[in-house]
Amino acid sequence: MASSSSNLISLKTSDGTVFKVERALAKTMKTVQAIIEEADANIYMIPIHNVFSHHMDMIIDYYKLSVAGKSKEFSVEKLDNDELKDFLLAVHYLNMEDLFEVLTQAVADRLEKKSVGYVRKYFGIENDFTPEEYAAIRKKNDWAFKGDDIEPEEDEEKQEE
Amino acid sequence: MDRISELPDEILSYILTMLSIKDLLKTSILSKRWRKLWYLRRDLDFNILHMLGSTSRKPLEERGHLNINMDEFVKRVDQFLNNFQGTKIDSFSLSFYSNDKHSNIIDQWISFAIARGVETINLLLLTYNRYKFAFDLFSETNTSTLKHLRLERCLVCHPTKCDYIPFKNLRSLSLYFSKVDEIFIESLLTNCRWLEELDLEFCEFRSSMPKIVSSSLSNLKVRKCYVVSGNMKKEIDLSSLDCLKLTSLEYHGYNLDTLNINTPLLNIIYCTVPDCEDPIPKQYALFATLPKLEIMKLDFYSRVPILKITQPFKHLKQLDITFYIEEYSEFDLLGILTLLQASPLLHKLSIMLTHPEIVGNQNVVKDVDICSHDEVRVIELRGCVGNWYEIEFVMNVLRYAHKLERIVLSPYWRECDSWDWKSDPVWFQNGRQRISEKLLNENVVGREKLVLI
Repeated sequence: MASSSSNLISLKTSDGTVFKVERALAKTMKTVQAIIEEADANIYMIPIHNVFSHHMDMIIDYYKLSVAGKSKEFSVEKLDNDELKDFLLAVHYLNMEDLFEVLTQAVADRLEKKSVGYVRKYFGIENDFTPEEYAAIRKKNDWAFKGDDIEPEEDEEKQEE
Repeated sequence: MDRISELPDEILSYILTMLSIKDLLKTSILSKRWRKLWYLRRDLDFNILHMLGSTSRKPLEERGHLNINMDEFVKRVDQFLNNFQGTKIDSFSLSFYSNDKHSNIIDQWISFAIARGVETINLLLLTYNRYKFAFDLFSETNTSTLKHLRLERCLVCHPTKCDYIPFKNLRSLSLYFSKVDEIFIESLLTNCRWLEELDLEFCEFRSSMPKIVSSSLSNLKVRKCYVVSGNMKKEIDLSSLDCLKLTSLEYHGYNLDTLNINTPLLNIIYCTVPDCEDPIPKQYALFATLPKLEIMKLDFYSRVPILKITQPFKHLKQLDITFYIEEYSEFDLLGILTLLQASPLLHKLSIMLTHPEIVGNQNVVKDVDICSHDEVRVIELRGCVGNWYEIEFVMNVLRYAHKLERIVLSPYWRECDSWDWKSDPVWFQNGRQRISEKLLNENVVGREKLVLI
């Protein structure tokens, strides 16, 4: 298998943009790495489904920060829940361990210590239980549903400021 | 509308592993899709402070337990486990103040975890009468899954009701502040052929320290163990260590004089050096016989005596010395020069002076007559505040360490991982000033290699 003389790999996102990335970055994407290794000849362009150009921008940002030892500075706070979820799916598809862990932790942080009502509202999860089912589940671990967790009303007040 | 729920189970379950037990349970009521996702959690950590909603950052051992509702904690853990329908548990951790009356229920919880293939068990049980870890909960069919066992403040001995069945796959065993039967440990060592790590700290044994004999052990840590005889605590030491694969030994005991050692692969030693009158502590002679010893970390509670070492540390590459001195008035660093001399292949020497102070009586610095050292490249002296003995040490070492590339002097020090770095800006200036004056202005050989922090 002839090795590529170029140090750049071309990745084509779902919205048709081509990104030329360093081989080292491509190596952090296990999915891409597998495609490269399975190819008989040199691959010129690797299509990456489910990954959009704005995802690649963030992936490159993260890569640059982690190479400089500053991966802790990477933040996804500005993403809303839909965007975070899409990004998480893209990174999951590309099979990038470190970034995946960062993003799942970001989602877990958004769930932490919030009330059930808050989580439902925030993520748009519909309650499809009957009132009887709902009461039965609450009763099983009743202590978990009590306490000083943040309720939706509190958050609405903050937003109006 | 519900975008987060569109994520596949495997991603959601990964997210759930990062939630506290309480937050995890709350997800069960979000929707039908979420109702059973919490069963995918495989690491269960029941800490009484977290479960009862305490936001205190103090560890469990330091908090008074008068206000903690143990029964409520037990009820909550019971509820959790009664409703939990996961089929696999990887780790089970429990930290709480228990009473004797809780013994049975703890046994039940552990059985629950064992039945689901638990691989790691951590117990921290603060109680007056130690909880006896029920080794008889394991039977022929399920002793193979346990790999890591960590018990704090428990009672560790042979099960009385039935024959004990050994753990075929145990990799690590850590016992802290526990009451342990040494015969049982010796039997574990014989039967657990994959045991790699053994940790015995502040443990009370029945009559003596166990003989550590194992063909698989690679890391051993022993700290301040004892026996109780007539209401008095009596310190005990390692006497027999026969481990062909041991590479790392950490020992904080009292005396290694009677140690019989067979550890040909031992590569790293970290130990406390007892105060001794002997010109050549037997400990050094013992360590010098080890053919693969490359890294040595020593904790001293007084100055290093000027030693005459008859057998060098032939392969030693790195030496780290930490001083825990209460009073620096009778202190000097010349003893380290003898250790350096006894380590002809040493590359790096690090010295740390904890809690340094400026000594009142600054003695005159003297030249010491020592042979040259042709290997050492880097020397670090931390907690250096400009005392005469530090300057004396640096001047002498600069003179005879011919291959030295760098010598770093810094006032910063750290006692151990749990203590913060300390620095006093005024002190720092004065110390630095003093060192600069003595070493940079006078005609000191090799002063271009000095790095002052």
